[in-house]
Parts: sequence; C-alpha cells; structure tokens
Amino acid sequence: MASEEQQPQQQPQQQPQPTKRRNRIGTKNKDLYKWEPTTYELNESSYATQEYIQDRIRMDETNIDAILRAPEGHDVNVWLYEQIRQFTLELNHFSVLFKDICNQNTCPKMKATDDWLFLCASHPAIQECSAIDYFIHTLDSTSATLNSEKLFPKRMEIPPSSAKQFNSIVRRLYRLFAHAFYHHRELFNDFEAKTQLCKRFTQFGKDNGLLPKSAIIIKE
Amino acid sequence: MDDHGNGVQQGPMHADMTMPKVLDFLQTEWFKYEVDRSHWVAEKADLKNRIIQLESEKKSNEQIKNDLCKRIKMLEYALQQERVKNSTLYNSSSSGTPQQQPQQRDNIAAKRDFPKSSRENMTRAYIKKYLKDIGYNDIIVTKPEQDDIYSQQQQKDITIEEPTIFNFSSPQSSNTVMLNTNNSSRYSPSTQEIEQQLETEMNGLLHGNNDNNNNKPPKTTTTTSTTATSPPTAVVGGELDTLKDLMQNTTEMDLSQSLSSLGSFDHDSLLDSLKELDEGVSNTTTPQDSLTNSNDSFKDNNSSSNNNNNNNDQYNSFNEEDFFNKLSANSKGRMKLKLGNIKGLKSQYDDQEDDNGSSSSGSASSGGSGKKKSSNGKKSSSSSSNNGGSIKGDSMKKKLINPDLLGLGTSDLNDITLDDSSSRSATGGADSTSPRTWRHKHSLKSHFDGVRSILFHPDEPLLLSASEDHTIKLWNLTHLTPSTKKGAAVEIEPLYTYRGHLGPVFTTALSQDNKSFFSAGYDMIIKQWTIPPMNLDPYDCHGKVINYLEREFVGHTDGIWDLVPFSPSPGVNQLLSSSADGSIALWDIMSSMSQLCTFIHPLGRDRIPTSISLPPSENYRKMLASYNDGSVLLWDLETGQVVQKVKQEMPRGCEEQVNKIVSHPFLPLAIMGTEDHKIEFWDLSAPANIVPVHSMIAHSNSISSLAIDPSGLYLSSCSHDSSIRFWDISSKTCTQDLLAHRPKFDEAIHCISYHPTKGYFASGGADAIVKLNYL
Repeated sequence: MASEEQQPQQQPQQQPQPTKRRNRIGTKNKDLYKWEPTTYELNESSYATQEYIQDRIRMDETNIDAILRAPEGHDVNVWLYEQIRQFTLELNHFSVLFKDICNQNTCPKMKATDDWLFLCASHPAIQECSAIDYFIHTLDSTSATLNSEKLFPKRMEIPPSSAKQFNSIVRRLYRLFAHAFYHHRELFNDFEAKTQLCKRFTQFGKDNGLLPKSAIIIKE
Repeated sequence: MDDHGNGVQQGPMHADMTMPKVLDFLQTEWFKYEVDRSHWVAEKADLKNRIIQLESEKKSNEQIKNDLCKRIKMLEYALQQERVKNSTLYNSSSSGTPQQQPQQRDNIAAKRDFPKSSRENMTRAYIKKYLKDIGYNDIIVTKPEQDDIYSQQQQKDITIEEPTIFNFSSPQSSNTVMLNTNNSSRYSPSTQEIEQQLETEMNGLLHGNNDNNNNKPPKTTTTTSTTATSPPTAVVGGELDTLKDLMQNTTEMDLSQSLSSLGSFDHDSLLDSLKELDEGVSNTTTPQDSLTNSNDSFKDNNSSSNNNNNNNDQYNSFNEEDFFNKLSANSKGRMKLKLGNIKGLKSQYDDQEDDNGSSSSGSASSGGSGKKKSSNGKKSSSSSSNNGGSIKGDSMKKKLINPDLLGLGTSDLNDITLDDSSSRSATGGADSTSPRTWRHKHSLKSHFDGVRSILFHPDEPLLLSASEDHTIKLWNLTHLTPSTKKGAAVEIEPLYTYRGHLGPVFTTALSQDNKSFFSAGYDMIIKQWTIPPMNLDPYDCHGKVINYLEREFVGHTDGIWDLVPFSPSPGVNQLLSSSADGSIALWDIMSSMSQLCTFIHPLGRDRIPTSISLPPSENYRKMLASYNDGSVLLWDLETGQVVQKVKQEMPRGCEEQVNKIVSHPFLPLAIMGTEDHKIEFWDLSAPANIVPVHSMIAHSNSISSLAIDPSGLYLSSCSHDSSIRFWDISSKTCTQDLLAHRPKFDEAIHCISYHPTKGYFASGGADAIVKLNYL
C-alpha cells in the first residue's frame, strides 16, 4: 500500500520541473547523471540508444535483463553497436584496475587457461603480446574499428556488411575477462560483484549469437 | 559640577554624579558621536564616489579627445591624398601630375567666392551623387553589395514589401544583380541613411559653427531623395515614385534625427556623434581596432579614386573638405555594416525560401555576398557593430525598432535573438569564402562518450582530448595533413590513450613548460602526465596499463572541474584546481604534493567553484573564480582573501550559474558565460561594478565554455544549443555561427580551444567527437 501511494506523489513532482539531463560544471559526484530516464520512444536525440543504455546502467548496473533488452522495434545492428561501444567503455575502466597487478613481467603471455595462447590481432601481422599489451591493443583497435569512418560512418545506421565486425570484437573482448578470471581472480570477483559486467557481456554475446558456446571459458 | 561633567574620574565623587547618570551621559555622548561618525562615513563615501565619477569622466573625456585627434589626423591625411587626386581630375584632359596641385587649389579657392547658398546647393547635390557612386562602386564593381545596406535597413522600421523587382547595375561594371523586393526596397533608403549620418559627421567635424546650418535641413531632404534614384544607381525595373515614397516614409525618423543634430550644433553633439560611431571601439579601445579603422578609411579613399575619373565634370565645383569628411565618415559607417550584411542577407535568403520559394534570386544575392566578403572580410571582422541589430532585425524585422540602433554602433545585444534559421544558414555557403571564417576540416572520433576538455600543444602538432569515457587521447595532427582531398575521410587513430582515471575526466591543462599536462575529473585525483614522443606507435609494447604518469595530487573530496597551472615567479610552478567539494586548492607542483592552501567561498562550501581564471592584468597574483550561485570573486593568491566581489551571487535555485570565466590577455576584462544563455563582459579596472560592461544573450541554451582568440580580438563561445559562435570583442557582434556536435542528453558542446599560434580551432562535444576547424 505504502509503495503504491508514493508513486503518484512522485509523478506530479517531475512534471512541472523537467530537469535538464545535463551535468553542469561543478556538479557533485553524487549528483552526476541524476535525472529521470526518458522513455526511448519519446527520446528524439541522435544518440537515444546510447542514452537508453547508459540510463539503464545508471539505474541499476546489475539488472542485466533491463540493460540488454532492446526497445521494441529497435534496429538490431544499431543496438549491438551501441552495446559494444558501452562495453568497450567499461572495459577501459576495467583495464585501469590492472595497473598494479598485471604487467609484462607478471603476465608475459596472454593466456586464460593454459590450453590457449591468444595472439594479438591489432597489428598488421598477428603477434604475441603480453597480457596487458593485449588489453591495451585490443581496446585501442576496438575503438578504432567502432569509430571507423569506413565501417561505421554513422551511429544511427549500421551497414550490414560492417556488422560482421561484431563477432571478432566480442570474441576478443571476452578474452580480457577470461584472462582476469584465470589470472587475477580476486580482482575479477571484486569487480564482478560490483558491476556484473562479465555476466552481462557473456549474456549479451550468447543472446545475440556473437559468442559461440565453445568460446565461453569462464565457468564458475 | 557641570564643568567637570567631562571628567569621568571625578564623577563618582560628586553627589549629583551618580553612576547611572554618568553612564547615561556617556551613553548619550557616545551615541551623538556615533551619529556624527556615521554621517562622516556617509559623507566620505559620497565624496569618494564623486571622485570616482569625476575620474572616470576625465578618463572618458581624454579618450574622446584622443579619438578626435586621431580623426583629425586621419582626415588631414585623407585630405592631402585627395588633393593630389583632385588635381589630376581637375585637369582631366592633361596628365594629372602632382605639380598641378597648386593650380587646382587656386581654382577651388576661386570657387569659394561663389554665392554661398547656390554653391552649397550645387555642391551638395554633387556630393550626394558622387557619394552614391563611390558608395556603390567601391563595393559593387567587384561584387554586388546590396546586402551591405540591406542589413542596416533591417534594423529599421521598414514595412514595405512590394512585389517589384529592381535591377540595378553599377556604372563601371556590367554586373547586374537581380534583387528581390526586400533587398531593393531597403537599398535606397539605407543609403540615404548613410548619407545623413555622414552629413551629421561632416558637420560635426568641420562646420561646427557654420552659419549655414539653417539652410541645410530642407536641402538634405530634397537632395537625398533625388540622388537616391539618380543615374548611377540605375534603377532599371522599378517605379521611381514608389521608391521615393518609400524613402520618404522609411527615413523620416532618421531625417528628423539628423536634422535636429544639424539644427542645433555644438560641441556636445559632435562628441556624441563621434562617440556613437566609436562606441564599439571605445569600450575596450584596443589599439588594433583603431588601426584597422583608419586603414580602412584610407583604403576607401583610395578605391574611390577610380570613380573620380567618371565624375570629374561634376567634381570641379565642390568643396573638397566636405567631400573628405563624407568619405571618411562614409567608410566608417560602411565598415560597420559589413558584417551584418552577410547575416542579414542570409536571413533574407531564408526568408525568401520560406515566403515565396524564389530561391533563384536568393542564391544570386547570396553568391554576391560571398564574393563581397572575400575582399572585405577583414573590415567586417574588425568592426561591425550592426550585426547584432541585424540579427534582431531578422527575427522581428517587421516591427518597429529603436532608431538608435541605426548604424551608429550602439546596438545593444541584450535582446538579440538568433533564430535557428539564421544560425543554420550561417554555416552554409554564404560566408564560407570569408577569410576570417572557421571551416570544419576534420572529425576526430575515438572516444566513446562526451569530450569534456581539449588542449592544443603550442609547439608540437598535438591535440589532447579528455572524455567522460575515462580516457584522455593524444592526437598527432600531422597525420591529418595528407587529407586535402575533399570527401576522403581520413582516419587517424590517437597516438596514445591515457588510461588511469577511474571515472569521467572533466578537465585538462597544459603545464607551464608544455612538456606535461594535468588532468582531473570524477575520481578526485589530479594526474600529471608527460607527453610521449611524436613517433609513438599506439600498438607498441607498453608493458603496463598506466604509462607516462608523472605525479598525482590527492586531496580533493569530490569531482574536479577546472585546473589552472601557473608560475607566480620564475622557477615556481603552481596549480589551481576547483572542485565540487566547494574548494579551490593551490598546489605546488615541484616540491610537495599537498595543498598549499584552499579557497572556500565566504558563504560556504555549497557554493561550488565552476571555473578559474588568472587575469594577466593582475600579474597572475589574483584569481577570478566563478561559482555555481552566479557569483564571481577576485581572490588574492598570496593572502588567500577575497579582494573583490566582481559579480554578486544570485538567489538559490535559479539558472544563473557561471559556467566559464576567461580573462582577456591584455585588457582588464573578464568575460563569463552563464547557464542562462548569457555572455557578460566585466571591467576589472573599475573598482565596484554592479553591472557588467556588456551583457548579451548569446545562445539559445546554456553557454558551456568560452575561449579568447590568441590575438585578443575575438571571442568564441560554445553552447548546449549545438552552436559555436565567434564574436568580435570590441563590437560584441557575432562574426560567425558554426553548427557543430549533436546533443546527447541535454548536452551538446563541452569545450572549445584555439591553437595559440596556428589557425586551428577545436571543439569537443557530448557526441564523443572532436572537431577541428581551420581558418
């Protein structure tokens, strides 16, 4: 009963004051991104999809279903593209956490399980890189690919031919989690408990057929 | 007893002097004294104010005097020049050599003996005619200039829209331009205006005590109306009568104005008219401005000489002094128009499309404006006070507008409203040929979220961009150069991506030695990074995540939004940081990592600093800090005290937050951009300002950042309305409107930056793109 009463109280408060969805200069950290998410259908922004995904993440990072569920009738490729952009953004953040525990001395080879040695595909000729360089190179090349004028000239409309890129991007990004899982478990668990990023990423890969079952090597 | 009344010690000894009585007496005395004192204080304040007032009066008088002197010198020079030309013209059949000058002078002297009134009549008519010619010729021979005058006209209360098409051509060119009604109907009246203005100026300068003043008003009316339609103007397809009527109607107000100034002539009105003309310049009085002004008028004089040949028969009979005054005044008046014209024309163009869809005539005129600007662009950018007015005219051109705005450089930008059509067209082709126009060249894409800060390296071709995606990227701009082919999108990847911040990066700043830079943001830690070698391969072996990190400054307890490194004395490098924790911290970069001191708003930590600027005029010993309550404080960095409250705070909850404050590189001028769409200019030299020197609503959304051109002449502002606007600081007029960056959430453009030496301009937006513009 109490919760039902609160809802109608909140709504009239929001209507007369359409707060700008803007982080003003000087905004306190706790007030950043503090706005009511708009419904996707009403959002006329060019970057509505990114806004939608980010709003969902900021509402509840662990509500994976809500984050990964595309609005009805949404262009599939645009949806995948924006999701991958967001994953790469968050993986950039994730990689910083490795600053003290992973370097070319601790992990000279990019491995997850001992079965596989991952080679870095970011170079003209595929080569062996240390784990952390694999991280950096993969993130850099992913951002280059996703921002490529040739492959993705617009964020509103993804050429079908470019959608093929998603598979390899997702496959490579997944290895970052795998390395963390097998070699830096403590960090991985901490981060996962907070963000559930790996879980979300795996589910995203599975749901959209971007990650074959054989590639999923993180198994609790 | 009473004699001893003042002797307090003795009080208790006397019977009358009981304790309460004494106290009472003391109290009344003290009270009297206090009252007196408050009177004195008030008086002192009054006197001080008076002193300040007188001093500023004196200052402005001196300024005016200087201006006048300059003007006189300029005119003298022009006069000399024209005398030489005159001699050539006078002896048109023979070769015009300088030796003939004395001869010609005699002739003119002889002419002066003519009966005054008839001579005046004649000369005036000729001057009018002649001015018409040069007025047009100067501009039209190479490029049609209707828009020039059009813009001025736009500010007026013109309401006539007749469906006639005028076709006019200048005497020296076969260049005919089809004008639509708006253009041409505005055309003639506004020339008239210029003339009237000229006349005022002329009289003001040379005939201050002229006895003939009484004769002038009627003449002015008649001559202008006839000359406006005189042959050189060649109104081909239009009805003369309509035109005349139109002119008479539309210029009535100006006429009455100029007439009154003619009628009662004295020193004051001279000053006034001069001041009006120079208002734009005198506000800031940059030396460059006055330079360009005088140069321009010389140029005009020179170019007019072409025309002299055509008109030498009429030319003989006129008073050269009048002529020169008109010329110089003319050039001045016209200069002011330049910029507005383009805008005016563009909006006109839009209107045409909207109204009748006759895009053919529109495109013809816009092409003309482009051509015109290519040669006159310099003038236009240097002083064009009319632009604001013309913008205004665009949105409300059919309404009556204050005649004060007319061509006098006093246009108040307070109430300009740039509508979308004008801003959109501004990015279009019409002004793309102007030399002082920024054109978009490259889009640097690599970030995943809004770009919050950009930095140009002053020596190396490097650009830094910091983003809400937690990274800072370093771009090598030399990789862009092979991309001269149009349409061929160059892809450049960042030279290096700085990872290390655990959250959005809000601000960056280059260190004093240009070898490193600072960055800070959400994660409350300021990081100092070195700049890697230019030949770095991003896919090189780095070995660890965080590279090139030099120092970290830990101490703030909330997000950091602005950084300003500076060196108060040689060898000492300090850094100021403003944080959402409500403090501005001073750090010593070299010796210690801890905060030297913090500056907290006197009203408390909930007043959050938004932007810091160190005014060069204060020798970097004082700091301007703007706050989210709209106040701006001037701090003394040595004592840590507030020296002055530059701008008062606003009531809580309003939208008055100052988002960015910048200091002019050599004037005691602070410019700030606010959340409520305004740009304000504050004079730091005036002791206690209550209002800004100038305030204008500059965008249709909040202003996110400002940047001053390295020359100190121009200002650019960016806003969440997706536009970047370029402003002439002296005249406060918009010189360009650049549409860039699409909004994400309700944010569009976060940051802009000029390259300190090269003609680059960059902007970063919420769309995660960095846009590079070249001059």
